[in-house]
Amino acid sequence: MFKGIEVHELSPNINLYTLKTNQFKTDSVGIFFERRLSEEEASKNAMLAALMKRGTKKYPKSRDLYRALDSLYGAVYSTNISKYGERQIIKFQMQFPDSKFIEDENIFEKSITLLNEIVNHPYTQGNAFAKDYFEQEKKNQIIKLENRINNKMAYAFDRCIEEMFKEEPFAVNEDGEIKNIEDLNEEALYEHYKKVLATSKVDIFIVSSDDRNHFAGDILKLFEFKNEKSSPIPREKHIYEKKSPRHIIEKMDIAQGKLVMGFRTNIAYEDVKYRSLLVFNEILGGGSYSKLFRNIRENESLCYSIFSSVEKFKSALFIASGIDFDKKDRVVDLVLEQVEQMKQGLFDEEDIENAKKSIISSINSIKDSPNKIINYYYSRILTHSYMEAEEIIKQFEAVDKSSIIEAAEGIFLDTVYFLDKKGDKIEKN
Amino acid sequence: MKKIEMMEIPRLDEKVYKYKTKEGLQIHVLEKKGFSKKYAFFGTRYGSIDNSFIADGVYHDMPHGIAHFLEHKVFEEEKGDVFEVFSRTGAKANAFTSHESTNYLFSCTDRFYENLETLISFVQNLNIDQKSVEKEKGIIKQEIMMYEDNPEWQAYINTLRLLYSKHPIHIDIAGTVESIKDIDKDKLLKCYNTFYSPENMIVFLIGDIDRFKAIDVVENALTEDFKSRNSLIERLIPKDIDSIYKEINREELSVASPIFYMGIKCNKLAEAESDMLEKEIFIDIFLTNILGNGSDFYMKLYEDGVIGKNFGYDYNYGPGYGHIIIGGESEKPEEAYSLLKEELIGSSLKEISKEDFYRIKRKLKGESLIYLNSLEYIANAYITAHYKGIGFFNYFKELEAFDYEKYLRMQKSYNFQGKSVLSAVYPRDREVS
Repeated sequence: MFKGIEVHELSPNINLYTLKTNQFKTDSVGIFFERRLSEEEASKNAMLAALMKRGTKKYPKSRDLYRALDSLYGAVYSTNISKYGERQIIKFQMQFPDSKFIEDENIFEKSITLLNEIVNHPYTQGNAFAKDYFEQEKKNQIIKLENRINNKMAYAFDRCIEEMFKEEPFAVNEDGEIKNIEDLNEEALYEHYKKVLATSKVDIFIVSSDDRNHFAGDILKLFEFKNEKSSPIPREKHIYEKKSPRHIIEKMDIAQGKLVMGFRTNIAYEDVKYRSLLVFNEILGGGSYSKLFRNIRENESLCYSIFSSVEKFKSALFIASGIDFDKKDRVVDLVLEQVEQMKQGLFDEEDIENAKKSIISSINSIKDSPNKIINYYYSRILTHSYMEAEEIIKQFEAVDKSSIIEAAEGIFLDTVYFLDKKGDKIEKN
Repeated sequence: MKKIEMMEIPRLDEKVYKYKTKEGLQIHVLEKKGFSKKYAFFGTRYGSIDNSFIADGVYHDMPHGIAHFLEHKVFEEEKGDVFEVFSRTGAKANAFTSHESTNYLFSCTDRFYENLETLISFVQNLNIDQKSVEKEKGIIKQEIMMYEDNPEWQAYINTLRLLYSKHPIHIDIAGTVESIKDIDKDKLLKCYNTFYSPENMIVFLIGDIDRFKAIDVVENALTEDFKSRNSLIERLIPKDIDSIYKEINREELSVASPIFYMGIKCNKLAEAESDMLEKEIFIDIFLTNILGNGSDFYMKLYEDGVIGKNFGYDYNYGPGYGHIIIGGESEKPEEAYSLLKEELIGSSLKEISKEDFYRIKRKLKGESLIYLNSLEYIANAYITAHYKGIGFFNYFKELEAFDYEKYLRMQKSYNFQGKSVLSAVYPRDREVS
């Protein structure tokens, strides 16, 4: 799907994807472990990601691990947890300067060796992670979860998702749940770590200007793989029945109301109509020339930010905006009016062309960034869609008014979440 | 033949081309072959700190937030919406106002020169009436409210309020809901005609671009009206006192756990025009040595639970201001502050070993190479450095040349005693009901 990407099957559960390019000043490596998103496991995976940057067998002290990274010309190492539909991905990533800009020809080998040390030889005490590191990260992970309320818009978004997908795995927060983290201990987590290594599908990405011809051989030599089996993760539920919309209002001590409207689209990403849905979304709320931006911000001065976005795996569409508390009903009505107009085809050819160009431009610019290349490619792997970028662009070019109206037909409002102010402010001195 | 100056940075494999029109507009092009996306910036050295000025002999004192307000209004055109014109080519347009500058930009993969012409044209023209000014107040009010709900931004802006009492850097870039009420059409026009002039502006372009063609497009798009603007500007930025305004501010907001921001005033450091970069590199090494995650001190704070996952530090400076900001989440802001103060602000600055010095230098070099992958990052950093008058790529050259002896020499001349502040945000009672 990207010219130049080579696929190497290292074992039935491990694939390596390499891209040679002179575009960047750094090499990037990503090792992704795929897990099924579940309440039972989410907190453990989140804790693993946090602990895996604390120390290794060779560098038990965090300080020494980071000094080793500093010495590799400030190599940046990160572990992250990402949610792709009902999958939870543990990502180990490293980026380091290309050898031609620095005085070290072996930086690639050294970096992979260090990455292997971090992933495969974490610092342990007996058959457990080190107790003090575990306790520190446990406390910090709980704080992180409590702090979700600090970013009000992101919090409103999360809450809307939790309500809209109640009782489904998708409602599970990828950073875990406080009560589950509280119940965890360093032995159980180490047990889980071994299970993750043994039972995950692993995908590895290398974006490098290196001339070496045997990345596959080098990776197998420098990196230890322990997985024996992995079971495929089923496709998410993505078709829903229409019900009358739920309205949820929660209160917080805030200056501006946060509105998130969740719609169901019932369009699977496997369906060619999905392209039309993305064009629909772009026209409705994709940027500063969208219907929502023009009508609700520019014409009505009701907000500063308003946008819409599509949730690929669960066939949903969200619209979010920060507004005055007493304008909620008016904004909801205006948004629904815009959606209705779109369904009736009240948009012109120019809107369609502009939206398509914007989307195509985004696809074309993925190759400008190593992280974008890796993330885009990975999401294509997860959706088993191995089409060339050119092919995808052609499909977007084929989208027309009737296909957009057809895609819009089944969209309906499911949940309106509003974060409102808390009663009257009590003045404190 | 146009006189285009070339600056080459061989170690980084980069070239910048610079051209100046006869009216004084700077056009800089960084050619990056092989990238799909292209970025164009058109900016003016006019930001939130330029509220008071003398233009052609007349004194003006403008309402807070006017530079940012003007940024919103420049997008409005007689012929219709500028966003629409950009969106026809799939381009994305945007703008931002900082303390020192206002910048308009677009990015695109297709029809770059056409978009460039659009950018240059719309920024040179201000089309407003009082009605549209009033309408904008509603939108900007929502923007200000959005920041009010951002506890980290509040902690940050409070830090500046503690550090400075006279310098306008302590005033929010967007102004306040009150201050923007005083903004009207005539004031906006005055500021526009004063600061949106060739001498005061820069065009910066980056991507797979033909520099000759791009420079022609820009020059041909310049209007007579724009070229004739040449106000004599005297910026009246009040000089701040050397000491801080107040040491501690505590605030309660809807957060789950406390946030702390520590500020260290070093406006003296930023005062002398020369060697700004040298000082920046010195401070970067100084801070990384104590606060980087390879330091014992940092790890102790983290392991003792004094600071949390979110933690960062930065040195920032400009006309009449200079400060270090350190911040993040902390269960114990007061304790974090006093430990940091003890470590960072002694009677003389903390020693650094030769080994640590070279490790940190390596780290800084490698990290800047990582940033250089991103055209957007380069564009932002390039123009920021331009307004400060330091030249973006000089950082790399100076860093390369910066040695241990120089560090030790510089270390002797600084101390920050009595110049630190703490801005803490504490949770209110349990939030969601």
